[in-house]
Amino acid sequence: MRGGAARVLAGALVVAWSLAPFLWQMITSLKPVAEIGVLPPLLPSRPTLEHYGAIFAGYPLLRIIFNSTVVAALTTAGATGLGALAGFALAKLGVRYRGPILGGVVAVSMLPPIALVSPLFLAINAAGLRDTLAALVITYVSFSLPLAVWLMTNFFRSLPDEIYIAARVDGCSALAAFWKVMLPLAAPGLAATALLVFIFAWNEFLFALSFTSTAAARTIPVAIALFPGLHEIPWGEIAAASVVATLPLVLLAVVFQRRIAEGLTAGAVKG
Amino acid sequence: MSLEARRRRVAAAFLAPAGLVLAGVTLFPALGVVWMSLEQRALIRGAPEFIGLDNYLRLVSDPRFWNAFGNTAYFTAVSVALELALGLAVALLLSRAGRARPALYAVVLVPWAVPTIVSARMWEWMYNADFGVLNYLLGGEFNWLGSPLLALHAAILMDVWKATPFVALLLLAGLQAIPRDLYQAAAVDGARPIRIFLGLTLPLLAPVIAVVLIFRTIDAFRVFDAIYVLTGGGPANSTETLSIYAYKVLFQTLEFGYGSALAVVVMLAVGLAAVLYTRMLRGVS
Amino acid sequence: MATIKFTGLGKRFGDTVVAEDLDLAVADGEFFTFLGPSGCGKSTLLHLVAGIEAPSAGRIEFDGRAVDHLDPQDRDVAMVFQSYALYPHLTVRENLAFPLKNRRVAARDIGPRVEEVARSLGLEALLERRPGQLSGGQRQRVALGRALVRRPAAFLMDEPLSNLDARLRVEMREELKRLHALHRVTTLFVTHDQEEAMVLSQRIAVLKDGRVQQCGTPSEIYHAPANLFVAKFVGSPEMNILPGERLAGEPALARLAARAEAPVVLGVRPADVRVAATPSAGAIAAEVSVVEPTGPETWVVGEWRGTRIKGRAEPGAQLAPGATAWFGMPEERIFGFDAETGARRPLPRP
Repeated sequence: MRGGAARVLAGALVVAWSLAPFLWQMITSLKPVAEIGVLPPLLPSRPTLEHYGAIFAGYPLLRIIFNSTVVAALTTAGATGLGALAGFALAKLGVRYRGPILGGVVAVSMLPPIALVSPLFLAINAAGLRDTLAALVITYVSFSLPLAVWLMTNFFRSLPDEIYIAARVDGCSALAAFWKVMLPLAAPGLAATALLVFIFAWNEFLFALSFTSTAAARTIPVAIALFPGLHEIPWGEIAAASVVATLPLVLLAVVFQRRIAEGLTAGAVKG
Repeated sequence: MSLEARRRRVAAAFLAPAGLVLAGVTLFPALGVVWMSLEQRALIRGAPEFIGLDNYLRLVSDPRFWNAFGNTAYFTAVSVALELALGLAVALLLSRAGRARPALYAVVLVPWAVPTIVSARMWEWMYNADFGVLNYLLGGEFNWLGSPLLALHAAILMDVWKATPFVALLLLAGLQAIPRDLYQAAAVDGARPIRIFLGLTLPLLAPVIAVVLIFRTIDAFRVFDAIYVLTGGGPANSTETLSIYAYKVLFQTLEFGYGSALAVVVMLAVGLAAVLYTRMLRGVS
Repeated sequence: MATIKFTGLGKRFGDTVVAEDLDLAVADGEFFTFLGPSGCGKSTLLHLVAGIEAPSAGRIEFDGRAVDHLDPQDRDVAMVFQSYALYPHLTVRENLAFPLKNRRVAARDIGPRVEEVARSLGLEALLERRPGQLSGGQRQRVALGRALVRRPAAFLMDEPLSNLDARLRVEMREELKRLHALHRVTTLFVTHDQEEAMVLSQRIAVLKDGRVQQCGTPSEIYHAPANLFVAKFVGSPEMNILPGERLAGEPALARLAARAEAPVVLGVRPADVRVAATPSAGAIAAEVSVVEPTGPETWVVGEWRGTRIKGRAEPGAQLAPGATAWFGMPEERIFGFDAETGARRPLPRP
């Protein structure tokens, strides 16, 4: 069965191509310093956790992970909440200019971060928010709102109008209907939105690089990009930090792959 | 108040929070950067001074700008083309994967889940001329990140690795939306696999492909994170994209006026691409 | 309980006119049906009464008080939907209690009222289930219960039986009629099924393209249709229409049509047409095309000058496709409709 064998081969190639780079990083993180620059052998003769220890000991990594977690969590809460409110209105409240509004929202999402970093930098400085988590959260919420609004609008549209009408007739104001009926039913959409916003906030680099200067507000991407090395680059430690930064996301992606796929493909495919 | 007026007010109340945040943190600065691009504004020197389109005139005759523009355009064209081809192949494979699909899907998602910065340092390590695993496996002494010719292609490969899952996911969704009976009808009519692919699958996928092209082109054109960390724009500005050049002007030379003009060019280019593609999308569907 | 009055009611969505210049008064406790083909704006009328949509023109009054400025939650109506619209994340008990909780009914009163409604609809065993675990008929009863539990001023029912299979539909129809007789709540009912409308309603408004074609009791609508549309829409099987031009060869019918003093088409219900294998006075001859035995009666469809004509077979008549049969119709059961406007024209005895 030539077709079958070719497919298995192709599958193996895809698996290797997708996993190999990160696997290599994981292997590197377990190699003792002496073996890191030496190839062969590929695998460490005695795997060691010394790099993982080093990154937490010699570097405020815990603080940085804390920063990333707080920023991502607050951004997710903010963007998902505001996005749900707006998406519900666009889907169910008969907004007259829904089409243009959604179009505008999508257009805004295409603005390049580099275009916004200079005015935002000046504003954040002026407001005294330089090197704070608040600056990042505010910026990230705004940047992920288009995605959140788009996803939540699509999701609320898929809920039947009649359930909303029933809730209104049964005595709910628009807000009460939203809170008691529509929002609980939108849980899958909220999950997809929250996942994508969290991942975006965790990964964001340009604004974090520009708005933070010390470990007080630094996030993981900046830490990994600027990883210090006095004479030579500490590849082992970078590898360890990479693994630490990535594992939560890979776990999220694998566990919630269906939700993520829903979110990414929303509206891209008709029907 | 009439019912109609009250309904409109309620809807506005739901939209207001998101609208205010977007207006204040995104729209307003977008206007701000355009304004700043018309100024001479260096953060260390005194007050900003309005100079009209002088920054743009300077930009047009700035060879480093054109270098960056060319790098960005080349990077965008090649990586988007490769992502599309590879993504389509992966999507086709996923669509036929049967029971292996959930596992394969999770594996394919991994490059997408890896943070961009992690990916950059990871590839930096693999591309290392002395200790990198790529040179070891290929048995060569390629100076991936130190040779102007190779560096941009190294960056392209890294971006393709990272972005293919997204393309594959969307194309897979498009493939799955094609009704099965069309394939059955084609098979009954005796069409061969290549004909089916070219005459049936591709045309029906065209709208999704257009959407993918829009997103990926825009993302590729405004690329910053990965390349900045991989090469910093070097060697010899061979991987310096427009965003990287703008960043350096803004935060290294602190010339906020000229840097804003560069940023506005990126904004306009992205906007143009979006408009062109949307026209194309409407034509296709 | 409430009376409902529409005065000059109009609704348009952009360029589409859904209702125009509607004047109707529904009595307290009346079962009133809006009947019409799909997409003629019937559901929109309910939405206007409920407050989901605002009218483009005109007024709606409950018991003489204007309600147009009130939000849906302030209007004291209950709605039952074609798709039931139960809250999937709540149990049946919670679904039934939902309207009461929203209106801040005392917690100790909610339980008994829910139980009472559940008992009256046979839902006691299902109270802890979720809608997803119920059958279509059970869901519809929960939807009814949710409306009943509130004792509102009016019920609005939007094709509530259309999603049920035929047998269940008839069952639920009887249930609705029993409930209405018991509680006497003013009910606005919307359907495209003319049999349903006839069985359930005290009065029917037949709608086409947002305009009332006729408003009256089922008997009036059936026996005295105001125009061709109503005549054809109401009554099953559909009324036979004999175009004026074809009447030339049938002297009896032509004379009848002439009495109208304007060009008319003639209409006669299949139930009033007797089909026999032998000629009779005034009967028209047609070639049998289809014979439909239904048990109690046998319908015969014939081709007469390019027009289909349907009638009831005489008991014992041997009629087969291809043969010629005679379709007899009593003069007093024949209607005349203006050939241009469709309005009914009387055919007075000379």
